[in-house]
Amino acid sequence: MKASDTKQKKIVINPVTRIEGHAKVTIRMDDKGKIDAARMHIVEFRGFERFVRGRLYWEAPTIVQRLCGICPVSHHLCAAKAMDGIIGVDKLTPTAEKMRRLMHYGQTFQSHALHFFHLSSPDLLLGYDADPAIRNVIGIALKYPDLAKQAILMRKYGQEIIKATSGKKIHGTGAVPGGINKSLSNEEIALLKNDIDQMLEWSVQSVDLYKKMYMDDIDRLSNLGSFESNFVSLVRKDGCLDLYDGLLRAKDKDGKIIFDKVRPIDYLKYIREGVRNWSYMKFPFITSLGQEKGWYRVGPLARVNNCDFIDTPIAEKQRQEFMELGKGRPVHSTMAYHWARLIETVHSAEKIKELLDDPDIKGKDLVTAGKRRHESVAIIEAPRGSLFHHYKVDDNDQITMANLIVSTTSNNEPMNQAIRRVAEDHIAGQKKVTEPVLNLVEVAIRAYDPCLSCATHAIGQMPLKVKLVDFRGQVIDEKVRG
Amino acid sequence: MGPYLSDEIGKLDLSGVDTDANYQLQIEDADLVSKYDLVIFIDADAEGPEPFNAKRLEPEAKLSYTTHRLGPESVLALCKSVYGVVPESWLIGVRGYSFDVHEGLTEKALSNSKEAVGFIKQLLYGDKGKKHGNKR
Repeated sequence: MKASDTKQKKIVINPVTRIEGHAKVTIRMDDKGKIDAARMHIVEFRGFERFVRGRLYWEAPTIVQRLCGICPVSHHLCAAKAMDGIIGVDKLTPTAEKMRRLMHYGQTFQSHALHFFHLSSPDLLLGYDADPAIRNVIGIALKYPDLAKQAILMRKYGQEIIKATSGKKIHGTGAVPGGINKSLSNEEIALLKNDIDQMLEWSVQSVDLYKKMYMDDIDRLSNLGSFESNFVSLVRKDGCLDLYDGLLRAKDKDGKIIFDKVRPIDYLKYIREGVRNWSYMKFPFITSLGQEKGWYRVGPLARVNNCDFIDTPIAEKQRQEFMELGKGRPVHSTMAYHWARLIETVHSAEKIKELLDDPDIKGKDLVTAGKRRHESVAIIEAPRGSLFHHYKVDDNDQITMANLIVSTTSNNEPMNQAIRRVAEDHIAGQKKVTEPVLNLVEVAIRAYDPCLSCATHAIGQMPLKVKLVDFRGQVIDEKVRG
Repeated sequence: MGPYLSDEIGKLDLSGVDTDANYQLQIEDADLVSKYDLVIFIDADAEGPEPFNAKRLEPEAKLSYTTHRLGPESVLALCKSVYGVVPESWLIGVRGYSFDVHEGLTEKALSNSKEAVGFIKQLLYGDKGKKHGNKR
């Protein structure tokens, strides 16, 4: 983007890059250069709630995962959990539960590794102001080939776990209502065990790498796009971090409990979805606080802030160190999302190692059944945050209602807050707006690892277009990327 | 189209040839292609020439705004940077005609895909019957 005066104008970043899907950011300033509005517009439309109506309930776990090519396992497992409820199953067999968990940890491991190394590390390692032409995964491979190879092999390992547990690396069919359709063979376990120690070691190195980067630049990173918020996530009954199952907990900005131990089926008593006329994406909020004050963050930062402990030793030690940042309060820094994400990467590797040693994953008791129900809600902690699937099914076994609240939707208002903070700190009152400054807006959004394909539904692709428009709508400057 | 052709070539049981059908290309595919001396990417082409278009690929960082997926040239660029090798690579775009949701291929697309299989066999074995496509 060329330098431009900042008299009354609107900055448009369209689309935001290195995220999944298509978003547009507008930042509007008044004649004094003060930020008037900062918004992320989601211009895609999701139709999955409508697509699945009329389909048979057992098809849902395979249909809804088509929402996304990066976290299909989350939708697959969440729909399967919801359909467990429809067939009256509240407890799976040990083999089914552990196979599903293994699939989920494999998914979290690969998704977090892909996000950190592929999408965010170009900003962190090459610099926010590096040439945009090289500020990407290829640039990382050229400058840090060993790190790039590590990223490739971590992602590959997670995908192998998914393949072993669901039958395919993408869009598998492992989870079925009431259980799972396969367990692991000795050969599969041996193959996966070969590399798990290396994966764990690389995970620990990754969190240490980011920790050092953060602490070395703490004044800048702790403030970049940061703000205080409520947090929502699942936690296990005893308060432990649990990515697969649990009860809902919400904390406020000071760490005080807003609600706790909420069963998924009761989510509508605690969470509502608001709308704005400038975005297709909804704005969920905590009912008791209202839409203006009740918005909340989900995802790795929320989970690490909300849980009381982690039940794997290395990740727990990392969590304790991380929580010192908050000095007794939750950590609110947007850029701390990366740190929390990498702690979860370590946790996932530890859990995978634990499960590969568990004889139950070779078991043959795969499916169970119960008394048929007509409504069910499931929540899972997807890599990007709490994912809600709510279905109603009639006596013909057809789905009559579906409602999905995906993590990126919950992080909608927070991403808007992050954009506003960056705009206020780096754009307001400035005579010139440069490309690196605009990239800072995207850096703050990327920290949330938004998946707009999940939050809406991506079709096609558009080039990057950055426009500077004055308050009369006249284009002052324009640049097209890609 | 891609999965169909992958299946068809797999059924030929060609020595030294592996097939894989994936939803999208990603960074780990750089590891996969680094192990072969010839790689053929196949997909349906909505607008290309009939019966198919064959294009030799070179490594190139062609990144889209949403980098949750990569193009074949970017996979090769990553392969070159990380593994220091670049397999001979082709992109075969087989002309398709109907992209609505339904099962199976149209008759014309099926006919185009058969011609593509003939070309791919030629790529793999060459005019003199030289075996290509071995793992490194």
